[in-house]
Amino acid sequence: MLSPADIDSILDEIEGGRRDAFRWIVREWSLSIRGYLGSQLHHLDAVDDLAQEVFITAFRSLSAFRRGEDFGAWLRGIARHKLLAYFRSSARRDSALERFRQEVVECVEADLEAGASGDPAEVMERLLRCIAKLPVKLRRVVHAGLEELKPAAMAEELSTSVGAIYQLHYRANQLLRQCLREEAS
Amino acid sequence: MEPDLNDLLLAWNGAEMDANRKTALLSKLREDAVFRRAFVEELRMLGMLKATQSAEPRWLRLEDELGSKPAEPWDEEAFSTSIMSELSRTEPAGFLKANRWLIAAAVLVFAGVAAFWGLRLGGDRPAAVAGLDKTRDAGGFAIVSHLEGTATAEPRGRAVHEGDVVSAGRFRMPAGAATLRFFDGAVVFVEGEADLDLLALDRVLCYRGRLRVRMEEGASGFTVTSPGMAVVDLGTEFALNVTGDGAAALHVFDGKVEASVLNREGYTLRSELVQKDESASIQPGSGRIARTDQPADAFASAPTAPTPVLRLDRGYAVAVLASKPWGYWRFESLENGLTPNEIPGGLSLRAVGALRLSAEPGGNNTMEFSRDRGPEEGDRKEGQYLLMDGLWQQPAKPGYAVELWMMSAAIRESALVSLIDGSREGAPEEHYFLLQLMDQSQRWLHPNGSVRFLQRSPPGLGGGVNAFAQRAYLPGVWQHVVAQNSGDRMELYLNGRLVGHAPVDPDQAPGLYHLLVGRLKQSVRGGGDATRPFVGRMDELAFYEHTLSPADIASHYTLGNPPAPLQK
Repeated sequence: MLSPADIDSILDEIEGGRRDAFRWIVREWSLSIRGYLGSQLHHLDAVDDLAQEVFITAFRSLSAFRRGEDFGAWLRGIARHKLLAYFRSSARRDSALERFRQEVVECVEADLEAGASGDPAEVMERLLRCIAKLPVKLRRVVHAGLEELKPAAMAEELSTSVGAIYQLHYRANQLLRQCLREEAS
Repeated sequence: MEPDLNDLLLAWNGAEMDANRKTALLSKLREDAVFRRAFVEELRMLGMLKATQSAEPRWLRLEDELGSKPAEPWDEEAFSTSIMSELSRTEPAGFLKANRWLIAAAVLVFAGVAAFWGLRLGGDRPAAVAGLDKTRDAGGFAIVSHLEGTATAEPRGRAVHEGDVVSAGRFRMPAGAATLRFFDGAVVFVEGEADLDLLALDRVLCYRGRLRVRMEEGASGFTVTSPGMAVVDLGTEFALNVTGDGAAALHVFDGKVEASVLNREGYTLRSELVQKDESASIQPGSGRIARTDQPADAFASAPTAPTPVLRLDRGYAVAVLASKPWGYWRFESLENGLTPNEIPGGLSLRAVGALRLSAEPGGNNTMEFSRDRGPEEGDRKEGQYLLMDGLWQQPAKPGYAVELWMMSAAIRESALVSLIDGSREGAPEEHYFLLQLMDQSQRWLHPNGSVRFLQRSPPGLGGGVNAFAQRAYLPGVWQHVVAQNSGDRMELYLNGRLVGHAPVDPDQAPGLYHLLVGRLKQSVRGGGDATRPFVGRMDELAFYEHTLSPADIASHYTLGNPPAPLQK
């Protein structure tokens, strides 16, 4: 994780005309910003597009960042504004689903922000170890999505029902969260 | 799972639900903190997996904003210092901690949860494209490989960025310059103010602007029209300045063109052949085509971009070796015509023709397949390619992967890597595997400028199963390609992302194969085009007797795109 001194050093480089140094910022926070946006947006395309917008805006507004403050929180603030604009755009306002999602996001915004602080890279490490600890059946269910295996086919493979597959997903998530907590402590 | 939570997740993912039920769920979400926390935990997990579902996206606008990465000289010392500084801050959690980005990407394997919920619970993304990269780049007439200033294109006058594919319709630039690489081989340099209408793969209508058209080797017939006139290229490089009043000035830099004044129906009324170094004025109003002495510098220039550098992270080779390749050729040396295999005891690649190593800043070498010394010219009989100094005996267990970095000089049909039946000496070269770059869709239906992964089992001269990339490759840019076959599924990755896949029948019997790089086949029968010679650079070719996980692929790609070192 970049320390405040590192961030100062990067900002100095950028102010000195070395725009390329901003890539360190992107490298450090792209995963967490994409994860943050991904928790509130359905499509990965939209997540990636908006995340790019966040970093472009951040780069152009670096002078507004007060050194010493939490850079990640500052980026998430920009992300929140982008999300709001996204939901408010006319095309999306017309969609009942997007309106519903916007209302949901407004309800959970504070909780999401509270959970987003910390070092995302550490969480990823733990998550990796935790997935490896999942029972074989749950790991198979988790893998199935990436392999584009339909729930019906997955259910057949595991000799169970489609509904049970959804439950297995939830169970996998539960175990992952529990494991993440244990690993953290 | 608690029923309300289940329903809320279903609704969040787009499942049909009664409005009253949704309202009730929202109320509970507002009022019940425990319920809210449970939902947020689900969202966070899904977001985390979604973020790691793919490699770092290629953010072209951000790249634009920050400037081109290779612009600065490689500062190895600074890089080393910064890496050591990074490591010194790292707690001794070992490899996992120090390679967190590699590890983060590894979670790709497990991103099925996000895909599963997102795709199966009523989301509107078709299952057919599940897991695929964005498809907005598929198809189209040309790719915008360079852009200075702003430009808009169809549909709806959207802003254009470098790397975008543009299709039929208007392309406008109030100022600045752009390079459009058409998929039929024409490169069009545009200087604003420009107002164009892209009519076809080989035809542009210019209302206003300064254009320069360069045809790739072997391509011809590109036509630039404006109201009342047309210029048809005959294998050449020419420039045209079109003013708002319809008059045009023409200069031919190389080869020749046919310049026409058109009648009302849009057919040639008068025409003139204009040769190299000649200028002409075309006046539709008076029907005249007249030679002029307008100098070449009065026309659009053809900027030469600096050759991009492949800047590999120092951990790249380590990561590849950790994936246990059967063969790994880094192209760092070429002695006695052999470039060695990094795997002890592994077979080298033998260079045939005038291949050479190109030294990149930072000490990395790449293999250069030059146009000037290609099979069409000096080495017509021999061509230039790499051939493995021995055969690959396919093991009984199915699965293989081919991974490399490549930078093509142009959009053209060219072979990257082939596996050719080696069991019968002297027999026609029958392909088992082919990885190649495409130009426009002609013989096969595919997005223009795609990458093709062909599998023929048993090996043959035709047929087989194809997986085409759903997005175009960029010429003049280093790109990471992986083609792999797990036994029953082919997968194609471009820059860390799955861009094409296809089901495939299992191999009938393990075979014995030649590995050929940079050309379709050794034989020159059929001429240069039939051998599909690659022109450009390659590096870090790896061959595996197993497939790579999406996480490995993503991490390898990421390690080929490290940020420039901090100058501490």
